[in-house]
Amino acid sequence: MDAAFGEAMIALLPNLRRYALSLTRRHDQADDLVQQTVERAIAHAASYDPSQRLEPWLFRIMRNGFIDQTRRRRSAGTEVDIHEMPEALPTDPGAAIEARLMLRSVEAVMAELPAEQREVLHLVCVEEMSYAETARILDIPQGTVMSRLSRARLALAERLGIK
Amino acid sequence: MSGGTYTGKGGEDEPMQIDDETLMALADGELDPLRAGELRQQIAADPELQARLFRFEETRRLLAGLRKDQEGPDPLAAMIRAAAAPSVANGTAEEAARRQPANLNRRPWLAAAASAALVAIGLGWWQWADTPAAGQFSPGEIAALERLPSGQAQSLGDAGELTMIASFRAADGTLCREYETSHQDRLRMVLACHDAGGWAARFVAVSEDAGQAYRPASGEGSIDEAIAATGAQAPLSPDEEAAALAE
Repeated sequence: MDAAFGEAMIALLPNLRRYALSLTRRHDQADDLVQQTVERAIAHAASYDPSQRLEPWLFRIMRNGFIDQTRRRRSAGTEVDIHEMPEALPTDPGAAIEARLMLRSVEAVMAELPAEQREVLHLVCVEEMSYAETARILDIPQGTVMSRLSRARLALAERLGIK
Repeated sequence: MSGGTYTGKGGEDEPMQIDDETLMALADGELDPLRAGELRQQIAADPELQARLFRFEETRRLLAGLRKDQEGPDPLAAMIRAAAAPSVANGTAEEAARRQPANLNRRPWLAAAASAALVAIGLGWWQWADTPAAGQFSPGEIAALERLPSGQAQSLGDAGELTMIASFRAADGTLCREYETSHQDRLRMVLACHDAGGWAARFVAVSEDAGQAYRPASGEGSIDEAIAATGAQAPLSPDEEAAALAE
């Protein structure tokens, strides 16, 4: 692994942490998943094709790692879901608070969606992956990405009162 | 998946049949410019289409708000730089992993996963390795089945390393244990149950390429299906497992 590859990966750490949290929905598991992904990416740096974007390659490693972990997690104890721990909200109104409340609503609605819809929403709309990249990360056809994404967006719009 | 630009369903001949996915592709910038231009003209003249498009544009805008970055340097940045630095020229990922003992101790199952590099990296297809059936246990494996707590690893000498994954009670009360062995690039994933005749393999899958592909060497399907077939419910807790091994 060369330094440029390392720096490119460091620049994507926030994206990896977000995606890990979206997959696991638990901070402790997300941290572990990011670390595991980075370790695997370093170990397999030679198999990365530099003509491809690094982000989808890392996301795919992370998702495969998550699936693998899920099997092992059967022996683990219970963790607290981040969406079951609402923080105290400040009481003063204002635009910034409105925006935070809206974000909170978006997160809450996303949490209610089926995992497969949440996954495509996150990859396309939060991480800005293309449909084709998302299809490769998830190992599903692009048409399936689009139908899931469309359903998820419409469900989100409806629950957020977007008309 | 060719990954080409999505051209949308329906053509100029069917102006009334613009489906949701096409509108979504427009909002997401996935349509080719020509098709997008045509569509925008059509939408400009149709308030209903505008409202339908708005739902996709607005959900995308709101979700982009979740793209907030954390503050300060990421704790993993130093680890990545160390792995890339010439001073650790022989620094493999395994060594990088070993530099994080606290975390690995906190989650031993993850240490097992990371060191065995079990997951298929995004390299494309899964192919079956060609290996003979393998349902026999070595003395080291028997010893591990009898004593080794889940989440811990033990050396098998020249035969590599064994990592215990989990223990279960089959529906009939039989103790079953899932473990993995790694020896160079050869990994085995095993489900063994202790019946009247001693330990017996219920499922074995083998990978010859460091976990990129597994093929069942004994039994069919996946290890999850094999575990389900025993009627096992949740894995035993560490205390339950210790009690079961003491029997």
